[in-house]
Amino acid sequence: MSQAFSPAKQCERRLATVAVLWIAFLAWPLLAGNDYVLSLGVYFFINLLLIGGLNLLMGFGGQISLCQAGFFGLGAYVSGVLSVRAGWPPHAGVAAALILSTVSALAIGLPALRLRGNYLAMATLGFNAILTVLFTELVGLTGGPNGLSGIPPIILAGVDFGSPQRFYYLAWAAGGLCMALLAVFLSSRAGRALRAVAASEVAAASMGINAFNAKLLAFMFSAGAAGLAGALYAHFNQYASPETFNFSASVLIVVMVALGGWGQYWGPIFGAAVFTAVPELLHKFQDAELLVFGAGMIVVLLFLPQGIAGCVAPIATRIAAGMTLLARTRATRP
Amino acid sequence: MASLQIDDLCVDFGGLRAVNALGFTAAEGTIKGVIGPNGAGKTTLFNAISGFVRPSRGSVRLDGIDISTLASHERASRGLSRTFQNLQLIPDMSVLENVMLGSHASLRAAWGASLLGLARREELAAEALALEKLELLGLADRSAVPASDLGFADAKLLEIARALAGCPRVLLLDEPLAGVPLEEQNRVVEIVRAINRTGVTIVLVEHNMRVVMQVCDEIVVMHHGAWLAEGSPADVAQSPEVIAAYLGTAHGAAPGTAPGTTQGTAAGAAYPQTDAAGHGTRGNHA
Repeated sequence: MSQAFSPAKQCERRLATVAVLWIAFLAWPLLAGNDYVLSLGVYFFINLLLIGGLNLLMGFGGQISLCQAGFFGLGAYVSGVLSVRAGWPPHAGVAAALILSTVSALAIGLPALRLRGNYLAMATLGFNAILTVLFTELVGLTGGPNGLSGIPPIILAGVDFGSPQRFYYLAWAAGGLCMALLAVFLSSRAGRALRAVAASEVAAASMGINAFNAKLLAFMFSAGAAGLAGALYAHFNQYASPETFNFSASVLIVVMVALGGWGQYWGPIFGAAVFTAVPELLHKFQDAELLVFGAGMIVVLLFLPQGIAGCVAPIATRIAAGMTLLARTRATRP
Repeated sequence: MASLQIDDLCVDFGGLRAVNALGFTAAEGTIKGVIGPNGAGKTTLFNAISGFVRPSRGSVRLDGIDISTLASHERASRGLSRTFQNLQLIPDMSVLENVMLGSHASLRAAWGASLLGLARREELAAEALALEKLELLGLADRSAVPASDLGFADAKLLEIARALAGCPRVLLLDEPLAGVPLEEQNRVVEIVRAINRTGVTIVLVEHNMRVVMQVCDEIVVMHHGAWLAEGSPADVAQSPEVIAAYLGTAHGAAPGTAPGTTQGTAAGAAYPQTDAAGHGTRGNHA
């Protein structure tokens, strides 16, 4: 391929592929025979927000956050508590969840990201622990260990998103929006800056890049995506309990970023698919998914440093190129 | 177009004074050479100018404005670009994107606008500028490959292209010829001259004396971190202090090799002659 590389073209190609994929995803409610299978589609998009957000920070920004599940929980409880206890309309709660998780990332990032090295990992480790305690102990607000139940469904512009059929499209839109934003961001000035910071802060600084700003923005984006995911989760599930958002859940999301493909644009799609499907497939065997995820992590670290996306993407590119060639030869035939 | 002025600059690493009360000026639009035996503190000087090490005393002025308290990325934003002796490329980024990175400071798109894709026109302009710089350095046909695929010489040129994409006013080149094959060195020299002709002030650290003598308008000599001599290439080459610093003992001549290495010591003896020739060609040039 002697074709000149262009970030703008790369962005267009990614957006076009996302569009095609998301149109295909519209078929899921038709294919899913029952609400249970349909709900897996919803969880796929929620997981995509969690993993896609974290992949920006970890895969492209080189910073580790061990609080992705914490922000997920923060989003769930903020939106849930506001609508259950304060009677806020759910969509206002979703907006509040998005804003609050982003702002709390700002508050943690301001001190932790000023230093070079992985101070963010330590700070977020602590924050996830604090959040878990708050979710469990603020019984009056969160319902404590029993969880928060009776979270109302989202009603937007008169449409009740209480049924899985309808909610699917909401999650579908959120996931698609996240992937589109990432595509645009990664081929932009700010996206290049972030990738440069991860590779060499010295080089980045000599180009006039403020490494702190780049990392802070990526962290806020990842937390915001998790907060949104949490709010969607709470209103879909209509229930939230603390153990969904604990430290080990955060570690699992990190594993999914690596499994899907560290710093690979398409990685989170695979990570989210694995994260959603494997626990369901291994339903009968208690906690067997942890074994599978652990083994998967080892395999990825040893043999597939670029994750599932890293070995699938080249094949997909070849197939696409082959199909274009086929179409062309057909078109030129009389 | 800008001048760079160093005053009374000291850099200490624990008990070691790597740069000692150094002062010089690179006048607007000139090429200033910084030479000195290995370990003289040239790279430390560059690091202090570009803000990667904090001087313990003294100031760095860009066009008369003190920039010595600014962070390195702020200095870059003000038009101070540099290349590195040991390369600082982003290995898994394409060659083109590495160069586009160079124009980071001159692009205006805010972080939010980047996220929402509101800066497309600016992005395309940056892409065109990057390609133009790659063409200048003869790397345009490699724009799509990851920077890690480039050979050492090409990687050095890529660093220069990236520094140029920032439209610098002052460019610090740290040994642009080191590791570049002999047959390509003239190309690099021509590029450095061409950059200078566009009005960019250049500060050049280089061990290749033939090139330093040919290219520089003025040379400052460092020895043990301190100012040793300064002047036109001819003056510097004939300065007894400089010869003493480089030499030790004089052996046979091997023009063009690096002083400071074993053979380099010999080259020191030879370079007053090389310089006479070099300076002559320079004169014709002007």
